[in-house]
Amino acid sequence: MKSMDTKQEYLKTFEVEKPVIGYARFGRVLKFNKYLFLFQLVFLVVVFEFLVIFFLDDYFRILSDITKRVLEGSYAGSYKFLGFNLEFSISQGRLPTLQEAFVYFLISSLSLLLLTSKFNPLPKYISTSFIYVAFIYFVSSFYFMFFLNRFPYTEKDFAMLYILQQTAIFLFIPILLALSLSIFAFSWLNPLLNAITIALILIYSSVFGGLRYIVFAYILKNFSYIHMPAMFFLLGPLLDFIYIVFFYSLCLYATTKILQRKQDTFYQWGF
Amino acid sequence: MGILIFLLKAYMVLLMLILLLYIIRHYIFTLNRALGKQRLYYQDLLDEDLPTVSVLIPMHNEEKVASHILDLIIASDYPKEKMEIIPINDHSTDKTKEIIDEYARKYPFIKPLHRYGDLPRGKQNGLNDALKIAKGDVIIVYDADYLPPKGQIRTLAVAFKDPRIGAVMGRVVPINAEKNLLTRLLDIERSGGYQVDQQARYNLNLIPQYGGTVGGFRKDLVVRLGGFDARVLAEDTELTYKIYLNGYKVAYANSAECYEEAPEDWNVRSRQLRRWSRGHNQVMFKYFKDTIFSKKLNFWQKIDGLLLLAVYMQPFLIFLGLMDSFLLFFLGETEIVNSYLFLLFMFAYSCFGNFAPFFEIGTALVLDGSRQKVFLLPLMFFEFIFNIIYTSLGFFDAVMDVITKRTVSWQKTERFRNV
Repeated sequence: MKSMDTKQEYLKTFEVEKPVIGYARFGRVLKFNKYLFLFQLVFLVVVFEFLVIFFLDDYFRILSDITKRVLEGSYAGSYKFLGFNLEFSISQGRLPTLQEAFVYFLISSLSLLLLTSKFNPLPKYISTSFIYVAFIYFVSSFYFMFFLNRFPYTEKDFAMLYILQQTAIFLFIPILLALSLSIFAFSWLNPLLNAITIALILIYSSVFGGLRYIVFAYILKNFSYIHMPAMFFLLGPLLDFIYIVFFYSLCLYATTKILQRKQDTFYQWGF
Repeated sequence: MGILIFLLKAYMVLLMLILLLYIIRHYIFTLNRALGKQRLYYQDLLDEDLPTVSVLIPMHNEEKVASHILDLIIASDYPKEKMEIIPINDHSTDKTKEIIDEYARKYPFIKPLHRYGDLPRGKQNGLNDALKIAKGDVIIVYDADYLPPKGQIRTLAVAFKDPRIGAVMGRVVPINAEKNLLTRLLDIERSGGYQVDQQARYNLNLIPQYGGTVGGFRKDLVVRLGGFDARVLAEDTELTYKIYLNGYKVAYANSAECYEEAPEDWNVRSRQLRRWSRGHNQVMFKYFKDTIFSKKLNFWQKIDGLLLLAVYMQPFLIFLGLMDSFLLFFLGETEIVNSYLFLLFMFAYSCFGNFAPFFEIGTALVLDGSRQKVFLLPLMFFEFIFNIIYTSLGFFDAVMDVITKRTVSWQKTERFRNV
């Protein structure tokens, strides 16, 4: 009798609780169309890689032309990479003076001390980012104070490294995004949405990457090579990932909207 | 110099391979969770012969939250004749003791355990003492800031009808997600970690992790295995490995959602992360070899087990990789294949998110139907350096623990709830 009561209690509880669970997200899966999944994976990678490869020479030629107009006293060069002939323009940079290196060393050391001390008023997530910035400048200025003449790069090397970095970013974007976005294949709208996202990222990357190059070249010319490590380790691929993830999140917003409109898909469970 | 450069480059290549392995692992998890067949949990099992349960609630200065969790567990629909509640008052100096005693006077199934005097502090020590007095066949553990729903103890306990199950774990959802940037970021991280990572590991018969709260274990098994090691801060991770290495499994109940209070302050979070990293790495040093040579684990469980063990070492390896790439940069060794350019990109792809990459968290948010939260994904950038620093410090602590064999002291996570 007691067990019967207990059972009744469970059933009652189950009935009461069931409507409270708005949707059973614990068991939700997305409709899996393996042909659409494979199609968009291959399609997105092949088409966008082709476009990147097709326009790579032109992109760097245009960037080189713009840089030549913007930066006074710049000279042209080219870099051969995997069969591409990538052009660039750059103006002559300069090494920091010992005084400059010392000033940066002092500022970065003091910043590191302040940021790691108990008197630091900044929130930790800001502090840790600043610690990273200060650390890069600490290493850079230390190097230029003691090994000034051993710095292995010139502005020409910088330009070639930048071209390599930007090319790697262009080539990786379609692969990484196609892998991440092809998972969403529950509607025929998904490939379109995903393609638009990758296209937008590539366009943004082209503009951002170009502007960044010109600004960096300007800094190397007018300030010094002391900033070069920060250009790669701080404002390089790490920064690219912020806008890549931003566009990815925009795409997910739209994807979720489509998913919620398709009631049969939204309530698809994987059991 | 040539040998140094070779070693620096070799480390880069090794790190890239490790990170690639983690990316592949997380991608498989994401595909499986989003598109694959999901493994059914035991929530539909209706059995009148439920196991006896002891609910343990470790508490140290929990006056802000103690009454909330006690009220909710009292309101649980689990048959009271089969349940006891043991609040473990661990050297509290605030009003926690008084609150617990007041509840114990009202409800005979609340049996407090007060720990004062020379008894060593810490969750693992408290649990060991509570195991000596607990009468339940099954132990369910909740941290004091958790808010369990009415039917959850039954959902968790019913899994133990399966004799292969050694422990069970539910899903953690922050209740204060809207509070600030940190709680929002922790909320989406939890989403990725539970909705995708844990469920996929459960689906694929790998190693879902017992998380030390919103979960439970079989008492006789844990007692037989020697209880909890007082020197290990991550008693939950240790139990997971003990269970698997002895031929039992951990069940994951994605439907058993329980609210927690996520840290609202970055200082508190840094201490929590450092403690987790220290504890997890202690377990790694202790169980790495056993995992490799275990006869109870299959090949894929070993692979997953090793990657899970090393997950809190990954940020430290990345930190070393950053130092390595600085050196290579200043030595003029910067080429595309074996250089920091590719590596930094891999870092970002792998680590844009705590220990789950951004695409895993993004997919979890789609599955959760959390449309607005996806815009938080780019802000995980702020956690990138933060996690590297504090997880690396935790790793360093664990190394020192191994070298010096020192005893560890438990640091409680501060509560933020307004009473």
